[in-house]
Amino acid sequence: MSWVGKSPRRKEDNRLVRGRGLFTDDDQTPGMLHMYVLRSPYAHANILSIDVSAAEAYPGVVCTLTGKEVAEQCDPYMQLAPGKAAGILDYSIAVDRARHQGEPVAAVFAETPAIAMDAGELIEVDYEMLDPVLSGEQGLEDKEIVHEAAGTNLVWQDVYEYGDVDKAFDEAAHIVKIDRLHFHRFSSTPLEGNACVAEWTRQGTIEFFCNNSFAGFAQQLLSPALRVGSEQIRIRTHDIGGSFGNKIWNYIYMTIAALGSRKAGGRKVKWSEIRNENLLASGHGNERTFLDTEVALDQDGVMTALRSRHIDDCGAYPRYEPLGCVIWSQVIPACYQLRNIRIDFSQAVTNKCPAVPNRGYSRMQHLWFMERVIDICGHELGIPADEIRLRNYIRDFPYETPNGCVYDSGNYPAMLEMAQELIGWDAWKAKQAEARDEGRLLGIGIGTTLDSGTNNFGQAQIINPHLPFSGNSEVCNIQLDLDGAVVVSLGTGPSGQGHETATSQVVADELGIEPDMVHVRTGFDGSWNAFVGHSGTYASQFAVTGLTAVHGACQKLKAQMRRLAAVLLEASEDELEFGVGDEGPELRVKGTDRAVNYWYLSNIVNSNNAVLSDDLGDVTLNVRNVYRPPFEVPDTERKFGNLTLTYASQLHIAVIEVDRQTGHAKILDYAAVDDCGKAINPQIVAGQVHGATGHGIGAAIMETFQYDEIGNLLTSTFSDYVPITALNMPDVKYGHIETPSPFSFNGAKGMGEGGGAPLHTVSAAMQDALFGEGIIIQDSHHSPPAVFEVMREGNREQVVTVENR
Amino acid sequence: MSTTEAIEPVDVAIGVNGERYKRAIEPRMLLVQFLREELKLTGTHIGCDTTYCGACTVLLNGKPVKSCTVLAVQADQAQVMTVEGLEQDGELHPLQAAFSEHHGLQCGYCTPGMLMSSFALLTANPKPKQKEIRNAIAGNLCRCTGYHNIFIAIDAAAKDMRGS
Amino acid sequence: MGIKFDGDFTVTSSPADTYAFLADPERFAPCLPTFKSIEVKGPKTALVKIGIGVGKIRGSAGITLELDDSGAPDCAAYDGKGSIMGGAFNFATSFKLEATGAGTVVHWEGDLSMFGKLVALAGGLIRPIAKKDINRLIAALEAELSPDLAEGAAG
Repeated sequence: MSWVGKSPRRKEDNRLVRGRGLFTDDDQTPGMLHMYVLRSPYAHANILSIDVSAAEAYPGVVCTLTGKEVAEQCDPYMQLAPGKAAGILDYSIAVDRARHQGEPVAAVFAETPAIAMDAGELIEVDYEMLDPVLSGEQGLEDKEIVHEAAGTNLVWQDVYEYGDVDKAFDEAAHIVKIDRLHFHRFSSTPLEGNACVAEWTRQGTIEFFCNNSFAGFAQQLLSPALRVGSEQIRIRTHDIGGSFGNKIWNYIYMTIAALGSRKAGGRKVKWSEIRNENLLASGHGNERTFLDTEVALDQDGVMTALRSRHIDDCGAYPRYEPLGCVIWSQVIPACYQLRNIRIDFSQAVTNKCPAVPNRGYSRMQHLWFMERVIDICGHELGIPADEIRLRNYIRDFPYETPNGCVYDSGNYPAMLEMAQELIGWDAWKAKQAEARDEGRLLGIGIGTTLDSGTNNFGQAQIINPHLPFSGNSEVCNIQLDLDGAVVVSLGTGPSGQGHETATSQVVADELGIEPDMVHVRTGFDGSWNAFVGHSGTYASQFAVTGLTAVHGACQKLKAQMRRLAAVLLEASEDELEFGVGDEGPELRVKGTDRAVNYWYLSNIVNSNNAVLSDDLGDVTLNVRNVYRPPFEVPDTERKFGNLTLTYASQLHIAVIEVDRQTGHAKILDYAAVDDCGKAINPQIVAGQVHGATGHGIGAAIMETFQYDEIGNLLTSTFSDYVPITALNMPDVKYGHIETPSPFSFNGAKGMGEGGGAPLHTVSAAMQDALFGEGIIIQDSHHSPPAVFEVMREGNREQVVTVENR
Repeated sequence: MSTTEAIEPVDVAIGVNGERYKRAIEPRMLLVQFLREELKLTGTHIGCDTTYCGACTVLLNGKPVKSCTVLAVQADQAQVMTVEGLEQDGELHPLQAAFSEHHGLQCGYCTPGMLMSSFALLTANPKPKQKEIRNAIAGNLCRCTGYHNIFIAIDAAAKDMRGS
Repeated sequence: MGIKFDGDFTVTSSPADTYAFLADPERFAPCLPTFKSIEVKGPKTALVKIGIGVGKIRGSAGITLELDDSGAPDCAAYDGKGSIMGGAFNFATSFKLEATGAGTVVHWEGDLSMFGKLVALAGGLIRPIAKKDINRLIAALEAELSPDLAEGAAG
């Protein structure tokens, strides 16, 4: 019996539906202190002075912390960018200048959260306001400098060029020029805010209980910043209330809490972010502007070349973001056969919230751009949306992209056909024609996208050849506990993706037992010795990186168990089989009742080992396995190499009606087809698709981080940011195909990010609805006021020109 | 800003999941803080600060309320039911079972609030239509599931509870 | 959120008297709407407390007022900044004086920027309130500088 491919009830649910999860804020150790973070109201201001005396005198306050103290006690966080941007000084608390609204400027540590907050308001900060930089384009002008230590706002710039772009333009039948496109700021805003409990013990170790979702990376950043050895830091997570990449960066607050704990004499310090703080300062998805795009096409509407200029606005501190300058190139041609590409890519700091990875990170922005490109070309050349995609899709796999990435498998035409069937394409086309006759604005849009998983960290060296990162890895530790229980520890620290369940399915299959007999530890714990520098949950890598580590650990454990059992049962290893007997999981001699159960095996090794012969001395029944995908360091000069192991794909179709009077976009029908290779747990896969679809639709229609002209975030509460609710979520018709990956042991591909498919799809449907009105969809956000505005003016003539030869 | 003078504690007696709890509390304490900090019932979560997300939903005298917007003193002498009160003798309530069966949760952070809003719905309306299900949880955000499986789970629990 | 205002008004005081009034924080500040107190820190600097309220959101704000007398005697200007409820505001205002008959025409400009929580929570309510408060300030200045006319003529 195989458990992989089935959907057993999730192990995680038993505690979560009972309200017995353990989220960070649920830690209520008596005597712990509470941290409040005072934040800059200004987007950009010099900090002339800070007076904490009134706060420190407030009853119940133990101590405070300012940026000046942080700068004395810490080293700045490691910078990923090369050149001048490497000079950026990034501390957990602003030292002498606040660079975005909501940036921490001081912290208070007190007996209760209320006292800490009350005292925080007594801190007097004298600011000198500076002009803010509020877009990537403005940043590149370098008129106002965000980081004087760098002397420029430019984080990184280079050209990605492949093929013979100019020749392809010379030979083109059509050239479509698009003036400007813009991918907006939003984030998936996990419902649980960032949180941590830190204890700088008197022994000099630092214990973190937190919800960081990339502990391997956090450890590497925290240790040098706090000037302690890596072994002094123990990071532990349990249940995490969603991350979507956002919780990768919260080591900032872990640092502040740890310093507060040390200053308070080693008392535990807890910090739980409130929503307003989360929206203001806890990381926004990155915002990208696409300028001067030119597309060459042949007479059939096949894209032959593309040239463009892309600018990332990474907010006030680059942190993880320089990697965003290369990660998009994992999907440089999107789903299309395009071979000649020149993209000038730059990234600038601004006085907005720092950008952080967010579901679909960096690839999503580029894939949205590519979908806008093909969609606009289709409309301008009069080729239907499905037809122009079919003419351009990649069809033969594995497929090497112009920059050396290898798309493992896929079948985009089959997904399109399935999605068209699900939504009733022809019927909607007929309804659309009727609606248009009545003057109604009905659009049908297609979005094809990729979710690349298990990335090669070597791509970081394309940004900065000196970065000590390449490849990828994940760990699994599997052991028979003293009573014979199968106990598995992972390095992934999941945040709702069901790793305990999926792991138990794989282990159950390998050992011939049931998932209920496999105990997968919850969360992450540095003391389990089950992590590497890549450990975490991000970039759609668990199904391959995580589960291959699990699979390999099972093989190693089984080999030890077989050797031991063969001796105990006086049989050869070939005669043994794994299974479940009357006394639980066992190894038995095939076709007989001679068996040893797991308790007996464990007992012989762990408690009763005088009987163990010397040649079994290396049998520990406690195995640590590291999986390393087969990557090489890319050619950093040519920006060429395999950047990702697997490419899941999604194809969505939306039908949207736009209200002429208000600009409101209503989704009338929606279909989503997913291909993530072999599905380990189809129910979890479908759940991820629905969830990613919700995020994308919310982002396309409702959610945006909107700044005013002086750097105030206007959408800093949920009431303004308006995450998608049960009332706004359309019914989704879900379909699934499987093109197994040839590069993973199980045919699976990483998945879960969804590639931003709804953003591409909603934009395409809006385009289809409004093209006849002389409108080009330039932005990924479609709020009624913005749509209304563009409908009033029209923009096609300003935005697009077509040369036909 | 609050004053530095000592604030007089207020005596309250609040019934929670069938037990009566007497406490002297700060008047500004929210019901959600009372549940989480005084009673250590951490199943009820906090997800926002503007009463938008519903992670903190509990029943107050049978009606769903967002416990981040109710002062604990307002619940004096009242009966509160939280997610911890759903299971009976270790047996999952049909809603809890259905959420698990139909994958109506991923990270589980919104789940307690979702369950309590759903419980209130099914208590008042054992046979809800799709639209009524959507309305009942309109004030409960879920960032993981896209709601799809939650609708299915609530519908399945309703059928289960009706015995059909 | 940034708001710009400008306008002019005529008073019966002479330019010299008008300048003397406007350039004296102790006389100027009490004309600010909801003025509560003033503490003079130096010849050109004063700490002023005012009440601030948008709907049910109420509090008091401290303003650091700095006189810019570089344009004397034809122009008095102030830079101010203050904080409220985790937010902050900055303003710059100038009064250019022009003699007319027995009195003075005052050409004024104001530039107010608001930051933080108050903007997030009160949003669109702020603009009309700020406009009303500016009108009240101008009306108060007019009344003070035209003692021979009835009070509260403007506003």
